[in-house]
Amino acid sequence: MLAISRSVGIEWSGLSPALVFLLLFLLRAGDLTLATLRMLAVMRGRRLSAWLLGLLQAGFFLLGAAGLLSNLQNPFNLLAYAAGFATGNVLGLSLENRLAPGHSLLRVISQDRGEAVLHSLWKAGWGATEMAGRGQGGTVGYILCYIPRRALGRVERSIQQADPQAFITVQYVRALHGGWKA
Amino acid sequence: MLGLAGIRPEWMPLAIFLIRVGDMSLDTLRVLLVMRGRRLPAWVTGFAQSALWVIAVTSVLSNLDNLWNIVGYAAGFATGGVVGMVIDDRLAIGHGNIRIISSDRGSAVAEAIRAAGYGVTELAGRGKDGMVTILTSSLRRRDIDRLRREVLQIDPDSFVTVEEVRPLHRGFWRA
Repeated sequence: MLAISRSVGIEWSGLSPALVFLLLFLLRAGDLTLATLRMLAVMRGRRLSAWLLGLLQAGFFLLGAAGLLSNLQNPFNLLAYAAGFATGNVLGLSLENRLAPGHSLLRVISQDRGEAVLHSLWKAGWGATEMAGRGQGGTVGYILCYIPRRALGRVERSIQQADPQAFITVQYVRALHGGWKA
Repeated sequence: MLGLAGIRPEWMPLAIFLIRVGDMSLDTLRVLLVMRGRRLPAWVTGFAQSALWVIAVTSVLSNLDNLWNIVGYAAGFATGGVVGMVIDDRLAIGHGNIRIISSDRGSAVAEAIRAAGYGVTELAGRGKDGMVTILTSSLRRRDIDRLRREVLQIDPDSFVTVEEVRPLHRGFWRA
C-alpha cells in the first residue's frame, strides 16, 4: 500500500483519492510545522536545531511536492496542500510556545505595590532588580526580571496576584551570562 | 533550458546540494534582513534565492529516481540555513543593547566601557542582596562580543544580557 517505491517517494497511483488528499495535507502540515520551528531556531541563533529541523523539513517538502505534482488531476488536492500549509504554520507556532526555549525579560511597572511584586518574585526563586521610576501618578517601582520563557505564565500570574494593576511587558533576550538563579 | 539537465547523473546530487546551500543561505539572510527592516538587501537576496530555488527543486522533482538527489537536496537545505546564520553573525548588521547588572563593580565597568569608546548609562537598582548598578549600552552588533569580554574581565560575576534593537534615534554612538 504505502510502499516507498524504487523511484523514491510514495507510490501514489495505488491510493484512494481520500487517502491521497489526507496524505498531502499531512505532509504539507508536517513540512510547515518544521519550517516554522526552524525559522524560530534561526532567529534565536540555534544552529544545530536549525540544521536538524531543516533536514527533516526538506524531506517532507519533497514527498509532498512530488505527490501534489503527480496528483493534479484532482483539484481538491491543491486544497489539501494549501490547508496543510496554513495548518502547519499555526501548529509550529503553538508547538514552539509549548516548548518555549530561551529566556525572556519581564519589565514590571507597579504604582505602589512594587515592593510586594519584588518579594513575590524573590520568594518564587527568580532574580529581580528594582529601580525607582517616576510616572504620571508619582513614583513607581520599575522591576526587571529575567526568566526562562517556559516559566512565563506562572510568573505572570504571581505578579498579577501581588499587583493586579501592574503593567507588564515581555521581551525576548538572545544571550545571557551569569545572574542569580534559584 | 536553464537548469541541471546537462549534468551527468552521478554529479547531480552534489550539484543539487550546492545550489540548495546557496539558496538557503540567501533565504536565511533574507529573513534576518526582513526582521531588521532592511528592504533593499531583502529584495535582492529574495530575488537571487527564488531563482536558485527553482533550479534546485525542478532538478530534484524530475530526478526522484535517485535517492541521493533527495539526500543532497535535504542536506543542502539544512546546511544552507546554518551557513546563512554564520554569515549573518559575521556581517553582524544592525544594533544591539547590552545590559549589565553588577553588584559592586558597576562604576569600574562603566569606566571601562567609556574608555573603550562606547556610551553607557548607569542606573541604581535594588536586588535581592542589596543595591546594584544597572548599566545599559547600545552599540553596533559587531562590537557586542568585544565589549562583553571586556565587561566580564572586570566583573566576572556580573549579569549580562544582550538584545537586538531596531535602529534608533540619537544618543552617543561610537563612530
